[in-house]
Formats: sequence, C-alpha cells, structure tokens
Amino acid sequence: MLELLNIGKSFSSQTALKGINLSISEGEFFSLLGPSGCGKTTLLRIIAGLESASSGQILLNGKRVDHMPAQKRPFNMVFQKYALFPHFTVAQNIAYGLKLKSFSQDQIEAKVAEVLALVDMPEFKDRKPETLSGGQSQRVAVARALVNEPQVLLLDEPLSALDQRMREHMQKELRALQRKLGLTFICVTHDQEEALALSDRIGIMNHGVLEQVSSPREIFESPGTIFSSQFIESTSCLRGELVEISQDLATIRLGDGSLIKGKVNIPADQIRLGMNLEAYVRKAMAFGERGK
Amino acid sequence: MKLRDYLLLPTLLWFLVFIFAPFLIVVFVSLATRGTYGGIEWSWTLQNYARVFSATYAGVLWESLKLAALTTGLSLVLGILISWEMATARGSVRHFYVMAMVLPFLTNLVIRIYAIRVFVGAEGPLQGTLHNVGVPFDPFALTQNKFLVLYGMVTTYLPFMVLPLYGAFEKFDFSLIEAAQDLGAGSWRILFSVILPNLKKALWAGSLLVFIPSLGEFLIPDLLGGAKSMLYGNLITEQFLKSRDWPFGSALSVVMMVTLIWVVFAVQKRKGVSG
Repeated sequence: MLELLNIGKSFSSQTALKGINLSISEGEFFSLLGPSGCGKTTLLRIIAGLESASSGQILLNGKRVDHMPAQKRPFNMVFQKYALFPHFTVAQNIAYGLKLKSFSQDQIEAKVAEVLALVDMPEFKDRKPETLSGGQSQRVAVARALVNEPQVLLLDEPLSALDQRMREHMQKELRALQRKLGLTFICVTHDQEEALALSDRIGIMNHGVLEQVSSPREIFESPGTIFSSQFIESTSCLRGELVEISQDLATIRLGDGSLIKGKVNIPADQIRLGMNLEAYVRKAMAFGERGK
Repeated sequence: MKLRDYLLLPTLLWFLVFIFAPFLIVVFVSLATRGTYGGIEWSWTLQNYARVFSATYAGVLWESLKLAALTTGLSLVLGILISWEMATARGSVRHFYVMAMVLPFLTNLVIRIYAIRVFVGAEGPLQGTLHNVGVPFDPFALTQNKFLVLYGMVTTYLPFMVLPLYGAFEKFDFSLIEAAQDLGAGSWRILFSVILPNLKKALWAGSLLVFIPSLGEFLIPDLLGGAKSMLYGNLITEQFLKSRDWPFGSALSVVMMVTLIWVVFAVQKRKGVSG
C-alpha cells in the first residue's frame, strides 16, 4: 500500500500542491485526472522522487520512502514522451536498469526476452528507438520500467502522444497488462475518457488540491464537488439489457427498444448476454440507434 | 548536368586555386634545396624531411602535439560544463551567455593576447599587486611561461568547443537524465552512459575545431611563452621569416598538414561521425 500524507509543494512564489492525502492499495489502477497545471504531474514526480515535496510523507507498506533518491525507490516511471535512450537499441534500453543491479549477463538477457514477450515486441530487440512508431515506443517504455519489477508503476500521460485509434488500443493493452501482473499503476491524465476506461479509482485534482477520490461509477453518479461535476460533463444514466457483445463493444437495449453501443468497464469473464446494465451516456462518448 | 551540379563549382574552384594549388607548391618547394643566400634551388632532395624527423625538430612536433592535445582536453571539460549551463539557463541569461562567448571575436587576437601580456607584465596590475602585498616572485618567470601559453590557447579556442556543444545541448532531451535516474543510475554513470554518447558528434566536431588551429598556433606561444618555448608553428614561421629556409619550412608544413589530415580522417572514420 502506498500512502501519501499531507504532501505539499510550493515553488518560489506559488503553491503547486496543498495537503494531498491519499492511499492507494496494492494492485490498484489509480488515475490522477485534472486539467493541465493542476499539479497532477508534480505529484507523480514527487512520488517518483524526481522532485521533492516541500512537506509531507510518502509511505510504502508503512515505511517512509520520501527521503530516498529516485534511484533507490522501488518505483519506475513511463515518461510522457517515453524518454527512450536514442543511442541504445530496444534491448539495451530495457537492460539499462538491470545492468545497474547485480545480475549476470544471462539473467539480463532472459529478463529482457521475457518482458519483450510480455509487451509483444520480441522481434524489435535490436531496433533503435528512432525506427519505432509511437505505440511501439510506448510498449518499450513500459517494458523498460516493468523489467525492474517495481512495486508501483508510474505513468505520466502515457497515451497522450498517440493518435486516437492507437490510444484506444493501448488503453486496452495497459489495462490487461495491469490485471495480469496485479501491479499498482498510478497514471496521470487529462483525458477523462481514458481515466474512466482504465481506472479502479480516480482522483480528480484542481489547483493543487485533490478534490475527490472515487470509482469511475461514483464520479458519474454523484459528482462530489462543484469542480468535478464540471469536469465530468453532464451525464445521464440509462438502464437496459445487454443484447450483443463483440470484443469490448456492448449493445444495450433500453426500455423503449433503443439500442446503445458503448464500451463496458467489466472484466470479460463476468459479462453475460441478457444481464442488466447501466449505461452512462455523455454527449461526446456514446451514440444510440433507434430500434424498429 | 543539372543546375545543382554547377552550384558546387565556385567552391570547387576556390578549393583548387586557393588550397590545393598552394599545397602542391609547398610540396614541390619542400623537395628543393636552400640556396646559399636563402633562395630556392631546384635540385631535388629528401634532406628536408630527414631534418624534420631528426631528434631536435621531432621533439618540437611532439611538444606541439602535447600542447594541442592538452588545450583540446581542457576545452572539452570546460566546454561541456559551460555549454550545459548555457543550454539550461533561462532565456535572458542564455542570450547574455551567448553574447559573452562570441564577444571576444570582435577583438583582434593579437590585441587580446597582448592584453594578457600587459596584465602579467612588469608594469601590469598582477605584479604591482604582488609587489604591494609583499609576495616574493620572479618577474621573468611570471611574464612568460608554459602555463600562460596554455591559458592563452584555451581562452582563444574555447568558443569553438562551446558553440557546437551548446547547439547539441539545446537539442538534448533532458528527460533522458530523469529516466536514467529513475532506473537507478548515479550521476557519473548518467554522464558517461547517457549524456556524452548523445553529444558525440558535437564533441568530435568541437575537438577538431580546437585541435587543428592549436597545433599550428605560433602567435600565442611567441607572445606568452618567450624564447624558450619553441612550438611547431613558431618553427615554421621562423624558417620563412628569419632563417630564410623555405624548403625546410615547406617540409615542416607538409608534415603538419599530413598529420592533421590524418587526424580528421581518423575521427571521421569512427562510426556515426560526420562533418
């Protein structure tokens, strides 16, 4: 469990973060959501150790880690623009962190191969980062962080550099990867859709304050503060029956016979046809078809 | 031939007339003999080259190579630090740094070197202060020494190192440093495994820009080093201006140019380095 106690940060003249209290349990996918300049990236960098907090404590499983430099913390980060070392190959990039620990060459090679298989990129081992697409670079960046077996994976706007189609694809992959590894992910994003699709819980931030922490569903149903209700645009809840599912796109029949298609935030093994579903509809997100 | 093939022509002509042809002349002269009264006699010999590699003169070449290498090394270390600071400074401070780096070029080299000479000279502020404070010193050793030569060389050629490095640092992605920290690398390791490899081209370019003129430099050792410090550049000027031994001076020049061309090609042959 990762606990943040009263974390504050002030730059020379202004306050960037005010008294952040948060605890994130193991295996949770937690998103920090907010407009740019709200302090969410600063908070992530403080957790990573790349910046120091002006006040407060960070505890991992009850032990303080805030006095440790970034090098020593059992966290790894996926940077916004990936920050892959351009002079190294994909394999060398991934091996960088391992070489600093006491692993033999064989162990390093085995671990690199394993993590490359995990992100489905084994054939890109000897490529240079400049030859990779955005989505491929993103996978390498995730692999480079994961190979060090961090207790928490930190992601700074991980999908913002990708185009819309790739972003949706990588959202699914990230979520699947997180479930498979059972690892704690903390993800910073300004994209509500992304936060809602990925997270177990979302912390909404504004002007350096953590305004609300709740599950995606709670945020939709009862936006806690004025700010969050503005940030999460007006939403309606519609109840209906699941009539069709293909991949992650579900078709729901409403009481009047209208069909709505949309993504579902339920693990695949729990989805049954005919089950009752609640569809949260926002103007920009879902579209419906008129029934006959 | 297309138009773009002709565009290279002026440069090519310039190169042929003003660089290649004079070099050929120098090569021819280096194979001639010195006349009794300092003229050139066209009787072919390799005698001049034998003299270049004789113990006396080979020592001068070795000293010059050492000084040029030392100048390059010092400029490299200082250049990395200075250009790093320049590239990470705030906007207005950065402009000031760039101006401060380029400003010395507005003053003639001779005047700049003379200023150093005056500063440490008999009537200069350094000796005056030392005298007033009562520190004993040797006025002759203070006015002209090897350290002053090195100081003059580094201050003169440092901008040639800093400017390419500054350009490279400006393009450098500093989040790579954070990524390396996050992966557990310490400061020295980050410097050698992440920062320097990404500046490789600029480091080689800057080193060549400093090393090449350093090797042929004659003015700075002449003014700041005194009679005892004979360097290769001085040796060449002396042959032409004082000893009137043009063939030997030409042989010295040919050896220096071949050395430099060899260095440039050796650097270019290294993977990933061009220009």
